Amino acid sequence: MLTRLGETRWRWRRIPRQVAAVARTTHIECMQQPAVLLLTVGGVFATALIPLLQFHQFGEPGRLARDGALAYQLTLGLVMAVVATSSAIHAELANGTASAALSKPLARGAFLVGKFAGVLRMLFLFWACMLAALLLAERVAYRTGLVDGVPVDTADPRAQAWLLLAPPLALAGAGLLHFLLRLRFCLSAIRLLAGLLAAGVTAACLFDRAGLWHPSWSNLALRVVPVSLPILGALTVFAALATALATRLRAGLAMIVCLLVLLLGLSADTLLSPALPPLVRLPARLIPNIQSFWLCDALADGGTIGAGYLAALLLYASTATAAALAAGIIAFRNRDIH
Amino acid sequence: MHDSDAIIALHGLRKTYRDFWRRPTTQAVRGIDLSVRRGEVLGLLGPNGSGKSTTIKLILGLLHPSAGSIRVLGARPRDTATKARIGYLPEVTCLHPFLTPRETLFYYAGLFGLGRGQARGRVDALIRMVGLEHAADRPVGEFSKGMARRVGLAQALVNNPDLLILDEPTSGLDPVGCREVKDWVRLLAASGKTVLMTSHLLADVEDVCDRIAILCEGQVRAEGRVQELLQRPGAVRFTVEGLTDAQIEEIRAELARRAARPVVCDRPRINLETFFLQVIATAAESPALPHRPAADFLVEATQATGAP
Ligand SMILES: Nc1ncnc2c1ncn2[C@@H]1O[C@H](COP(=O)(O)OP(=O)(O)OP(=O)(O)O)[C@@H](O)[C@H]1O
Ligand SMILES: [Mg+2]
Repeated sequence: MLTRLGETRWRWRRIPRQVAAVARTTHIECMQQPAVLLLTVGGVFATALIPLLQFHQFGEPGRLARDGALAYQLTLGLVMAVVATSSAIHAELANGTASAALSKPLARGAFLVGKFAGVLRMLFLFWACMLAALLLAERVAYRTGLVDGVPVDTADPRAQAWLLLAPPLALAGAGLLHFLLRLRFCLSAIRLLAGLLAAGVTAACLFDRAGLWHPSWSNLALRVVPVSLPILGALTVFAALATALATRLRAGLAMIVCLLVLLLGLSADTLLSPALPPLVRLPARLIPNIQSFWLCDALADGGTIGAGYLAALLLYASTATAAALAAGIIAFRNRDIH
Repeated sequence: MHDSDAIIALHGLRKTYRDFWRRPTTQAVRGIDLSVRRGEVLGLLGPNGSGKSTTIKLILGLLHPSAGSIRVLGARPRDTATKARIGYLPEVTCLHPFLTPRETLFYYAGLFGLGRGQARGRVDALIRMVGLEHAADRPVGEFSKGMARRVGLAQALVNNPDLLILDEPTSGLDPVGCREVKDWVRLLAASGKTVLMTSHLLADVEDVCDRIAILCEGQVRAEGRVQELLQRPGAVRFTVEGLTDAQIEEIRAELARRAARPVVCDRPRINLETFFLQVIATAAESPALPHRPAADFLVEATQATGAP
């Protein structure tokens, strides 16, 4: 009886280490995928270009940069979440690394959670890079052109230059690190990019648009953060969904199902309309409602997002993620591992 | 044999593969009864597609049996505590290509719940054991097949297992590697570990296995101790050096007269493996030596081994 208890305790202590080991390996594998580097660097660069190509204010300075950057964050992030997750899991099952891992004292559930955590870590890095780029782009674009019919100083050339230079600098730095220290290229490039953008955001908090020392949170439009957070929530939900689907479906098929869920999620508001019969509304409730994660319009004209709404959204995203992962674990329990 | 001695006990084991729609596609295993005893090395042989790898994956709980029962170290195959005592080398070495051998071994040690500090000594020892110190910090994606196989072998030993399951351990290895693997297997068995291995190299199996089971179309067709299965009952062989042709002829005639049967007299050869290992050993001792005719090595090898 005592040995059984000791065994149980040992087993529970072992699980976090196992999950961490799987997550770490998955993170490295995902980050080394050229597509992930392309989407991250491309997303940041595209965001950096928005203020330069801005010809319209849409009634509010900085709005185009904000909306555009958030749209990139959501769309590229969703692509990354679904593609990286389903290929990470499917590749392990197809090439046999899963069979080596699962021949160890690793529960199938822990394996799946570890894979999900590894992908999530990568998604978080992508999201953070895009958020930093968004904050800088918003600042660059802020008050460009005309305000109340009066022309004002156009832009913040230092922040704009930093934003544009960060991607090539990160790539060059990663190349150098690979040459000198044999560090992994894609991984270093994304980490360097995150570091450069974080430095840019810090500098933006300390200096005003004219380059003068003026430490203040108001140097950046931090009210976009509560709009960007739900996007991270949506990415998490879709990564969990892709994890669950990839346990049983091939990577391509899992991606198609995710795409269908995404399309249904985008039309959730229509599907939930009281005019429709309950038979349609009930399944629509189970689909992650993408509309509730897209809060961009709430920022228009100085609007903000309430903490209560964010808390509710957090609960919604956590429940949907947990449900998807639980379904994945059940589906994976009795799957043959070849 | 009583089942309590058995480290692995299979009874009426069956496995039918099914497609996406659950339709049966292949009957890979068709009623296997087999036991592996503590401390023995059992070789699982059989033609391609005879169900060896499937049986191994069933034993490891990776596949679900369609029928029959499996006990491994006294527990069900899916029991995670039992798996902490098993080492497994898959048929195809599948490694994470971006990890170095050192990171790979830390990863697998992590799956046993070992932290980096706890695993460091063992990881270093295993890297030395499989002879990959020079490549320990290169990504395994760049490795040759044999080098990757060595990493695979090291990961199978990372937990110092009581039961080692090796699916074609010598595939892709050079003869030196094959010899080393066979020596490791014998050493592990001598220290009380149990080994189940498959191989298509029958000489390897003969060298290391105590018992063999031959599978054919998912069924065990022959099983027993290697010595007993391969012995020619009643036949005897003498090996002598330094006889002249006349003496040989005289002895042969005498033997034939006594046995009242034909006597086979041949000139024994060393096997190619022994010869190859001798060439490599000589090359390692004097790397700058020019090419030598094979006959020179043959003489040395014969002297060194006192070959039969
Ligand atoms: N994933 C799978 N799906 C369907 N059938 C399979 C699968 N894996 C193996 N089989 C079939 O099961 C049978 C046994 O295969 P298995 O891999 O166990 O053979 P093996 O004895 O290990 O062969 P080899 O010596 O070539 O490694 C074969 O007919 C094979 O086609
Ligand atoms: Mg096989």
